[in-house]
Amino acid sequence: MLSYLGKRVFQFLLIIFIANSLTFLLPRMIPGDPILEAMQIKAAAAGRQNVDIQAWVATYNEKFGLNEPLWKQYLIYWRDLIRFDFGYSLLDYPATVVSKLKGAIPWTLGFMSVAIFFAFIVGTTLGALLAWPRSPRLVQGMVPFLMVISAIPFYLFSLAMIWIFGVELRLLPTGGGHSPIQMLAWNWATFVDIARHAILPALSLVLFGIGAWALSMRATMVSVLGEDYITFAQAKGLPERQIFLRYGVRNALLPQATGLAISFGLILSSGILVEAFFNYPGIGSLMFNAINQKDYFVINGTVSIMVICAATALLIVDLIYPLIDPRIRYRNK
Amino acid sequence: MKRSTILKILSVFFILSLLMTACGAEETPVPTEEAAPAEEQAAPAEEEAAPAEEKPAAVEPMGEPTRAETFVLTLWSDTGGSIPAFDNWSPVMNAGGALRGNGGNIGMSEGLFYRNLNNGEETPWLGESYGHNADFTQWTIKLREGVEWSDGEAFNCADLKFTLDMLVANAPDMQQSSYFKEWIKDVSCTDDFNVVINLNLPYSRFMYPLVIGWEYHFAVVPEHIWKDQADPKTFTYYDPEKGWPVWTGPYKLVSTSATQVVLDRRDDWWAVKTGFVSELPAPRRIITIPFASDDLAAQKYITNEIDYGGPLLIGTFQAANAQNPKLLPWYPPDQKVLGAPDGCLYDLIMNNQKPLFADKNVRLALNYATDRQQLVDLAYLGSTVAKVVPFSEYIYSTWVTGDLKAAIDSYDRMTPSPDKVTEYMTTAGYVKNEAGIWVKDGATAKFTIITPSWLRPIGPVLTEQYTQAGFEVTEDPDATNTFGNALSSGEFDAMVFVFCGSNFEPYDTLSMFHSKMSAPEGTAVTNGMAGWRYGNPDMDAAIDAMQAMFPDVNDPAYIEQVIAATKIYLEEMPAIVLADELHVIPGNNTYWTGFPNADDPYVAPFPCWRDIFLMTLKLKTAQ
Repeated sequence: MLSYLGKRVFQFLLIIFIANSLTFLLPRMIPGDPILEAMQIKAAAAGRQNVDIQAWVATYNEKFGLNEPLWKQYLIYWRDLIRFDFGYSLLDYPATVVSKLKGAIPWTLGFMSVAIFFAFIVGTTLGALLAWPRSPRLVQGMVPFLMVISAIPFYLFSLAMIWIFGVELRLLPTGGGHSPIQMLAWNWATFVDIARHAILPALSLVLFGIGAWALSMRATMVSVLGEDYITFAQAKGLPERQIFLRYGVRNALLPQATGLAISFGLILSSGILVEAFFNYPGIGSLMFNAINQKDYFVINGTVSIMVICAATALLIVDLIYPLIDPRIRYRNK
Repeated sequence: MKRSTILKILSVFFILSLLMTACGAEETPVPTEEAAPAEEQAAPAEEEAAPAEEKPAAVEPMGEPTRAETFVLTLWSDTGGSIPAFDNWSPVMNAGGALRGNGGNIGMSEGLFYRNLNNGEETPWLGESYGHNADFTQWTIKLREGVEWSDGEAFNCADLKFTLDMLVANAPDMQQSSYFKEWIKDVSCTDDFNVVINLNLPYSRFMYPLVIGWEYHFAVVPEHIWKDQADPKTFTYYDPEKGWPVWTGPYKLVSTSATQVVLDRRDDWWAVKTGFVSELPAPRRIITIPFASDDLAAQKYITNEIDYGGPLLIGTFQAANAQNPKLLPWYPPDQKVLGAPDGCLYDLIMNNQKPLFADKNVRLALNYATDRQQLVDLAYLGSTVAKVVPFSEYIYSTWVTGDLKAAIDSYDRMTPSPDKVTEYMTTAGYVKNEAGIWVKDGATAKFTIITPSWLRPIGPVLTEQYTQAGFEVTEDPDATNTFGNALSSGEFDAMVFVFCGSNFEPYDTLSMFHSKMSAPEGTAVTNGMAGWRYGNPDMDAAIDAMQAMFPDVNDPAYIEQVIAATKIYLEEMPAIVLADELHVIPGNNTYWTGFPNADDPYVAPFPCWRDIFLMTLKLKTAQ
């Protein structure tokens, strides 16, 4: 057991090490000086003339430690990373990356967790019913529809829904996390306003997710329903409902639950495009804008957090797998 | 598990998730005056024994501002999808460029003076007047009496002296600090309202950052707060408990987050108290939100969620205007050209150190191969104006008249001409090969045009025009945003870019062609915007002569030098100016009227510029 645990923790640390090392190295391998690019963009955008950009660049390089040799930067990077200090935003100096992450992560957690959970519940239920031979024909006829929506990229749903519900029908807000005039506070009005703004981005993920969850549940359920114990339960004359729920769904849920855990692990990274489309103020938008503006330190920070979340989720799934499925036991060779 | 139990778990989960979202706003309410009733705000005025009639607004029961009383705008488009520095209100260390990055320029911070770039008129504000000695080594500023910071302290010379001294002491880290360090010898106060600034060297343009709002964003900070800060470079000037930031303007910060900055009107604004301004600005509340993107901004315009803000592309504006006719840009919406000039021009930067472009005949041939009107029509749907000289519309409208205009017109560099392409290329020693490509000594006239992403419409049109003229051209769309490195290092042939010279007089525009802006091959130039790496002693002489003079459109001696430098530009064409960079900034007249426009150009309409404060004062409720 200890050996298994050690192996999994080692894998976890290795993933974190490799991913963060790549996050450090890749931007530095792109030709050009990110500080110079950032300053040039700022100068061009602000229409400033006769600015000594090279002097700016020298100051910022010193400020950010970019004038140090690469190996030293790498060591400093790891020292800071261990302390969860991702440094300053290149473009929004002196704002820190951590302050930006703190502002963005709760938005993403809020709407993504609702979206993932709803998609899981509805999709899994639908998938179980699709595989159950005695489901209504209407339900069983939904397979082609689900295959279509699971194949359509969710950002296309986003575009369609912005147009239909936001622009044409004007029923729901087209973007942002809240109305411009809504004063944010801990009250019902803020709660409703934020919920209204989360509907469209969440719905586009839910629509896509329902198809994917339903099809995977259907496949597992079909396999489970072919097991001997199902035949035995039917032979015993158990009620259909009991066979469906306690023998079918319960056993087919295991891979779904694993998938759900992984989905929550990827919660910060899986909605980047949707957030960008809706300008939802979460970590996806933060990363999207950072990439657009070449804010390397923010990119480093967001990617690191995403990697840590995903790796942690995988580790947890690995560790709890034997606990949630008694059929599975890991042994040393 | 029972169904009801599952439902309960689901409900709790849903509520928890939404609560997490709610806390994600990380909104920081200012707990001081906002919660206090209006009567409390009246108290300081009573202590000062002000006449009762001076504070009727303070006792008026107000309640929460309605949508019709709230002015909502977005930041400028270069600030990204969130408010870049919502918790940093330092005007000297703010990422967005002073207060342009969080909307503080719209109503909290006031300038010493404002200049209307449309007509050159100056509006004294916190400053009353300024002057200089004969050789421009000493400048004096008279400050307005009766100005108060929002905490009740008097605004005076000590504040301006402290600000300038701080900038000089902290160069180059603080914004504009290198400029002040270069020029200022010392600053002193003769009394509370008279400032004397001695310079290291004579400089007739020293006052620009202090007088012209535009993108200079010079802001005086209160000495009584800043003097106690150990490190002004890390001081964010934000502490709701202490009521910071403190400014002189008619609005105070109520709350701030990455998605929203809220300012509420202060009824004890000095300008009304002293009678300098007759009434408070109409919006009771100003809310600034991020720009996000062109299409998202358009959606918010259509649904009347915003009143003003960043620019829309021409096609986006037309689509939005079709759904919301109350959106009115600088020019009437039935015209082709709708946008206001932002002071920059689109241009083709040629690297004059490359063998091909070192020959002015090749540059002139390229100029005549450029069909600017076709470019404007194809790339920007005819929504901008073709230009030849690097003067933005702001300079054109006030300076390009009389002899200067005649000199420019005499060159006729605007009309494309295949004959002149042939003439100049032949003079440069090129002949056309059987494929129709210009060749000299076995080498074709070959070059690559880099196009940064936001100038994408221009690249293909120019490439096609030059190809048809016999050049071997490749377009290189800059997908990785590395144009800045190329511009600085000189590792490029040609690049579509923006030329942002001066908006108020020709010197700062023409000085971009001074040889001191160039650098030897293989070394970086100081300013990539002048990446043409051009040098001409005659041009230097004209520019140096201008630098020593006071810029005056009515001074023939000054105009003579302007004409001399402009002629050299037109004879040598170190860069090819293409067209004005215009921006469509719609004012949504659903809730508010009084936006600046071509008929009433009382201020340039850019929400990121310092002067936009004057628009706040002119807004009138539409409902």
